[in-house]
Amino acid sequence: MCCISCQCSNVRNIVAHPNNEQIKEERIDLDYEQKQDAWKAFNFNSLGNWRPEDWSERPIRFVDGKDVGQTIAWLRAPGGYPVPIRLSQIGSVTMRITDGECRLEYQVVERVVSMVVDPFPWYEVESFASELQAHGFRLLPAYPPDGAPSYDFEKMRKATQDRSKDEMSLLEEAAIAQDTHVPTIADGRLEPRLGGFDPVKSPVFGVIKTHYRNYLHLLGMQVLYALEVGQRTPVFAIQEEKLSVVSWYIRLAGDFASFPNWGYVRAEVSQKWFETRGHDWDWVNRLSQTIYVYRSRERSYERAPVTLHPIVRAEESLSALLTHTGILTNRFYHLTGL
Amino acid sequence: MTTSTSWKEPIAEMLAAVRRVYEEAGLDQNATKSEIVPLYDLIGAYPIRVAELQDLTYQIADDFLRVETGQRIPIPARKNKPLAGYLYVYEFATQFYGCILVKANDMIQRRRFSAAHELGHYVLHFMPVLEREKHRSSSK
Repeated sequence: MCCISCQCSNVRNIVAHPNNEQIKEERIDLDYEQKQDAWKAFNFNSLGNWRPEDWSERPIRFVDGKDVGQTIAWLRAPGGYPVPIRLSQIGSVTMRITDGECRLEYQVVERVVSMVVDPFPWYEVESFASELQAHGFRLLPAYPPDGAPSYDFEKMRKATQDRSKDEMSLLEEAAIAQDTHVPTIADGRLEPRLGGFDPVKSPVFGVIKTHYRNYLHLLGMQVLYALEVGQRTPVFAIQEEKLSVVSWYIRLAGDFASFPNWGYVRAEVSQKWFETRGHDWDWVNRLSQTIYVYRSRERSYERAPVTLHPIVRAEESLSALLTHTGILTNRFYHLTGL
Repeated sequence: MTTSTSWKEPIAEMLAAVRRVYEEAGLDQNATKSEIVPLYDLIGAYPIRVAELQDLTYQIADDFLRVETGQRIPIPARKNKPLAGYLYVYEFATQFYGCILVKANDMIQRRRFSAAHELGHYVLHFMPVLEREKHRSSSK
């Protein structure tokens, strides 16, 4: 008898996927444009006869992503862990304004199944992933927040949801990367889409309509709530883990009858890109005015006042590409026997 | 001008080995549409058992192999050194049997990598040695 063995030491070089929505350490510089104790609103619509249509630097590409899905089943893994299974359709789309018309430029949609797979033997997961792929689904291994499977169903469910959102961000990055020389607006924060552009050279801007975070001080909040349509806050800087941005709020809609925290968006731009232009506050006003002009006027759309028209068109284009969730879910049940 | 081609031979050797493994498994490498490498099927082409063990160490590998195969392995002084993968090969009745052990508590990508890595050792390094020994003993 002869025997030979090989042993490989434990080099752990794979880092768990970062959670898209997790807020990392940030440093806020509120003195960036205006000393923070002297904050006041700026009018951005006082540029005379200037029109965004005549501005050669105006954004003409608009990128949006979508993650439509739900938890459709759950398994009990070896060890007793509850493993939710999320079925999603994720996609990204780019609209380009050409000759005054908003046209579809790029689109991609994928059907994905996300779940925490670590409690299962690798060969079972491999076989499951291959079978899914043969039927047009892609398996996304999800990572629990603490790096180990949990008995907390909600934690596991959140991990699967975050995983498909992360994948959607990758598709958005791919959409942005199709043309990084043209001024582009992405729907949301820039940091999760950083892989799609060069933060020094690419004119890519983020417009955020849902505000999970308060970046402002007490006076800043007062200035924000008192903004009138056509006004913006001073620019402030946010130093995030992977990307530093300069940002400001823009009032697009609102009157005395609406809540003070409604009707504004937050714009953000890579700080390095902005500073290579030499703190051009006039540019900030022009971009703010352009965003204001692009605002959606569709009354049927609930979030129209804080959404840009090309982004609404992008969302509509993406929705048209998706299969009805119920049909897809039934197909998944049929395929897997769950 | 001369260009070093020292890296080309090992790569050609590896690619040939990959082709050989696919052939042994009865799979057409070029016809595989899936982007997922059928690693389990490829390992299954050889008399190799695959197992996942929690907190894999030399000691735990030895405990497992003793119970499952009746074999003992040489255990170094650091018997509790953490391992990601372990390949054990032994000859029995003119067959070369193997056992790939991977650390069960690693992430799935790491476990697949470890298993593929051990298969690579089996095909590239151990099979030729064992084949030579077999050839030598049969020619005596």
